[in-house]
Amino acid sequence: MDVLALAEGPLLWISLGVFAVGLVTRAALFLVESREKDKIFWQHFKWKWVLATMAKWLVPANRTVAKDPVFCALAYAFHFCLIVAPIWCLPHIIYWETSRLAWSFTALPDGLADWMTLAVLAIAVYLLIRRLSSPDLRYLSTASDYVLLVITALPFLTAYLSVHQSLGTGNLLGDNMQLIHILTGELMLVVVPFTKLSHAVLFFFSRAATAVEFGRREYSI
Amino acid sequence: MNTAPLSLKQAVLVLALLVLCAPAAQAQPDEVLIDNSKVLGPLKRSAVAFPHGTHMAALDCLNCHHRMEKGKNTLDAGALEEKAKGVRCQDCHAVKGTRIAPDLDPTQTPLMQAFHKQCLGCHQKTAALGKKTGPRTCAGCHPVAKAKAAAKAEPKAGS
Repeated sequence: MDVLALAEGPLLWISLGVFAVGLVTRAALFLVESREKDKIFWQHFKWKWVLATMAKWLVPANRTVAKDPVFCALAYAFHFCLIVAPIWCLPHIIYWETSRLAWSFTALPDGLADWMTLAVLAIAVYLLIRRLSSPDLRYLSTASDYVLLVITALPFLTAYLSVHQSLGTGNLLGDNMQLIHILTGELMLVVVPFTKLSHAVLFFFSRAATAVEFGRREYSI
Repeated sequence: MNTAPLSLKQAVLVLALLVLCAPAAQAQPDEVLIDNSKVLGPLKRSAVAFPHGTHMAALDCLNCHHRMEKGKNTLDAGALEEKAKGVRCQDCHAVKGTRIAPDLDPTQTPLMQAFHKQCLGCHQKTAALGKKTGPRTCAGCHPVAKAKAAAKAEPKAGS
């Protein structure tokens, strides 16, 4: 078994498993700990507030949007492209089709997937510049924030280079770009549950916690 | 068709001829351009230059060509001639509504998936066994440079 066979075989399933089980575990641990420690939160818990906050903060209809519309638009675009492009791009669907699961679904047009990939990359650069240029953000940032931004952007960069064979053929990087893409994607999946990227799931809990706190004090959610 | 077993002498002669012809056959590999634009419409990736000869040297015809009936491959390898019905994948594996040969066994696997399963699936399995095999990446079969060159060239109907 060579590296590519390893990467698109066992490593792929392991990384998807770590990602899924890891995130579910993070959520479960959070809930268990919260049940023990946040007695007041659970006494006042109301689905009404929680659902209201999700509706308000998952669509661009909140206070932050009005405060910083450009950043919000970019943040929404970043997350939308980051989630949608990898799930609905044609090459990934072909992997599902040829897998044991034999799943098949309609793919995004190649051109659109390309633009979404470029959008993720451009916004990642913007996020980096923003983090470096704002004194407040710089003070709050740790090394892991920068590393995670790079880990998040790498699969998209390598996807673009691989699909377009931008580095040509007959050289080590160019010939192995799809392998590098798979490995960087797996790296991102694996780090999600153990890092700040776990906000993929924990966002919903912190949002809910804030909503219940605000709700019981009758502040605007 | 004469199906009498070969005598030892005949067999040696045939083998010798095969061995003598082999270098010539390898020097000019039997390449097939897989362009299914008639079935699939405009292609999203470049057509595949399929080295049929290389595969013939390594595999039996019925490893790939098949007509499955009750889980068994009932295709007669002797009937595999270039223009015969049922030789090409698209004869049976066609997208709904565009089936080319309705009298052949229907199949639920659309053409593109059939190709990917057949080619990529076998390459992946063979690689997992540590054996030498064909490409397993998108660009390995669908090179981008060729797609660009094809787009520049005069547009023509698929073969």
